[in-house]
Amino acid sequence: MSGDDPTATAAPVAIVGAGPAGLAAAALLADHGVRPLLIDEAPRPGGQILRQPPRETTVERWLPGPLYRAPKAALRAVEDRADIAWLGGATVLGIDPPDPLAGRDGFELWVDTGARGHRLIAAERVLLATGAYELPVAFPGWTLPGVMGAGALQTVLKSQQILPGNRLVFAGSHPLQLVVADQALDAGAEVALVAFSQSRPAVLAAAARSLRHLGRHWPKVWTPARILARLAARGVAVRFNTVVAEAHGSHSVTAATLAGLDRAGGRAPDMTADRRARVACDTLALCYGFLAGTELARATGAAWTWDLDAGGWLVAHDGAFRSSVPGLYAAGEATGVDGADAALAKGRLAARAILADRGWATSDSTDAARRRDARALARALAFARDLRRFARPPHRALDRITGADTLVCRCEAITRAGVEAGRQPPLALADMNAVKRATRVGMGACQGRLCGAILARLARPGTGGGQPPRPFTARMPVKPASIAAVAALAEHADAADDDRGDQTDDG
Amino acid sequence: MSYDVAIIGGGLAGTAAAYYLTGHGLTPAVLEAGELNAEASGANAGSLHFQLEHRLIAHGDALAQQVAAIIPLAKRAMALWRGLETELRAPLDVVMDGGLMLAETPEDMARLEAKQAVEARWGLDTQMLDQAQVRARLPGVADTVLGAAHCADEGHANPRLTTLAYARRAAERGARFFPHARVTATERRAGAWSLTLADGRRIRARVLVNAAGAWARDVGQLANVHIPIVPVALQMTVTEPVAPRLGHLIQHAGKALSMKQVEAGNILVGGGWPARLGDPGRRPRAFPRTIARNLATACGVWPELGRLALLRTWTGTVGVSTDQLPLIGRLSALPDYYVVGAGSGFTLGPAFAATLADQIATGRSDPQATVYSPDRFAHLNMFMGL
Repeated sequence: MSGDDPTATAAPVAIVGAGPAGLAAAALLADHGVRPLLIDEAPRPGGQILRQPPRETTVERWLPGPLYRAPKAALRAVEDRADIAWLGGATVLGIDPPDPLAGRDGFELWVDTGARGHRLIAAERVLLATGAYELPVAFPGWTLPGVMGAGALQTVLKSQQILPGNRLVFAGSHPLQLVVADQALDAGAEVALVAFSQSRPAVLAAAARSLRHLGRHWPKVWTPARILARLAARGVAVRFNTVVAEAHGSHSVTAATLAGLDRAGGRAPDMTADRRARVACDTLALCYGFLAGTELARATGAAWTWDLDAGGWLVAHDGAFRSSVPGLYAAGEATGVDGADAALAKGRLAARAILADRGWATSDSTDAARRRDARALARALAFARDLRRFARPPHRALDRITGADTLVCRCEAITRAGVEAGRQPPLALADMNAVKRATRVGMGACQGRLCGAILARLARPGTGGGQPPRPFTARMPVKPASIAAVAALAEHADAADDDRGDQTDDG
Repeated sequence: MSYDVAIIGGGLAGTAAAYYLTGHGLTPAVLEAGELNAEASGANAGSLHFQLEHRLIAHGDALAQQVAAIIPLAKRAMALWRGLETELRAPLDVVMDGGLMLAETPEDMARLEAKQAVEARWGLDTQMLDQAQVRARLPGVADTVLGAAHCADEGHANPRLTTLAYARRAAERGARFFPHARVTATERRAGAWSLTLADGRRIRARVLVNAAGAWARDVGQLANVHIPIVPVALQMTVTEPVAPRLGHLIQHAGKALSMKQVEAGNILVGGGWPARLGDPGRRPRAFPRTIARNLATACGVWPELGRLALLRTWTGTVGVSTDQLPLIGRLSALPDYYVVGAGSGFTLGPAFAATLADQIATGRSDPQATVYSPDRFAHLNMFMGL
């Protein structure tokens, strides 16, 4: 890719997010003569799945194993191309949709490039490949240092080769925690326990069912089984039917309490008072699933759908990854957390929609290629559906571990009781945004990324489904920004408006 | 269900009116299409500003004179705000530590002096400060600031809490609240108002109050009258919380700006910067240019703001009347139909509501109320009514 262009102010297509979906889309667009601008918050492309170490660092045996083969290939396919523009270390804070009243036909991206300041970038079309983040769970002690997502633990391992602690406990419902536990063991950590909320028979049944994917998805079928065997060989305890209940410690986590799950009579699993165990640890890693990153899309006015087990609020699309905003596309986990293989296919299909909408690439060979991508996506989604069914978090138990005085919003220090105070008459606040206004929940630095999903769950205990909750209204800037840098943008905007005025006068 | 008064709109004006009506021994019902306090009443920046505003004085003397007629309302609002936390037995984060309206040019200074003369005539106490006096009150103020007008009663309060506190106390005194109750019809039946809700329920009331804010026009059309209130989309920004460092409400004589530090430590910056109204039923959208210009204006007079982080922006839809003055009182085109709203609805909201409740309870309006009587637009309804 061509290096950072500090003066880039326009692109035919801007792609936000350089994970598998963004990489695949960028390559396909460039193949068809469209030079996309690929923007990512990280200094190097690859997304969360690869989390490239800094350029100055060499890592021997970087992400070995078949799980990373396809994303690494996608990365290699774009890294050396001059016909893809790259803007790394840059956060897109907001996207202003086309504004015919102001004489602007395309999108305007508000981009924070850190020390290089803020700038406005014009793009005819925008593809959002903004990925996912970890599903937060609130329980006593969850805000102690040392309590983190398994994905966060993996991030520091991948990008910095650093272990955040020495004695680790994992608790979750997603098999990713096996991968992370294995990587942590390789890096020299002690893993005290890996706790799954599923029962042992459920795990075995899922493993048996997954065998039908062996042909096409063998790394994802084989890897967990291989890791379970390795954990057993190393004497790591793996416990089933167990959920996290509490983290202990005064300044950082020193122990975790795990609780047994009761699924008597076929009920949804609930937490039991007995079978509680306290395990000493300095790191508690949680892995109950993922939330799609949709703030940018929603702030731009895109419609959303709700499916908690597929990532909560998802960007709605027409099947070809066009959002409800003309010219705005979404791909990857933002449209459903389906994994890297699906994201690669989604990215390619979104790029094809962009090409078709621009009036290009209508030849038969392209149609055949599109069908090939669609088949790849269908295969990836078949696996993702089975995985999702297996990895479904124990919603009822996750409600139960949030006590009345457990913090729900850690930025503003609002407890569950504080959130629920306004729900009674005469106020009877039902909507999340009304609760936010009444209590400050979600008004802090994370802008509700964490507490939004917790609140959505608390509003409808135990179900994880039902009536879709309206999310906190997303608005630019979707992340905090330096005011001096924002204010400096005013001059930039004035100059751009003057230029456009001149052009209009000339025309 | 039958009530003395049916109030359409669960914002500050409607909710506070319900509270004051219960004080007159009446039983009101508040009908809110969405959630209480969900729109401008809860989304404004919480300024308590009593000096004549930039947007009012910027349009010449005649308007300023007319606008001065709202000063009696402002003085009533000042008194109500001072006692409101005690009266409603709730923290509302009311801080009245004074407000500065800054001047950066000789024209600004001249405008402030003219403004002060009008205010003095109407008994609103403001003082002119020179550059040194402004610096003493506002450490870190930019060198470009030449002076300011100071009003000791200005400050801020918390819009998130105020309407909800009124609602709790009104409910204790017998008012009924119907959130999620959209009114689809307002009709006269057997000498009273009959309201139909979206779910089919009927509410009967002797008096109807249109307190629907930016949607007052739509609610008016249910009774075939024009209410000249238009929706305006505004955008505000808020910084990360920091230690106390900004002790006044800050406004500008020549630019759209309001700035204050709230109880939680965040600094709110606004002043009437536009957002895009967009589709009905959706929140207005902020856009980068106005966010940047709003913050550049604020940094221009108080540069240390630039060292902080912008945490969030938000937007709200406010109802503004076509002559910028509030509408409070009875509409003579219809029997027992009252309107309340428009124009500085947070600062003046308690006074709007108390004034309206007095009128409904006594059936009389005070002489000054004619200035904001909705009947100043009676010509719009010459061919309207039931």
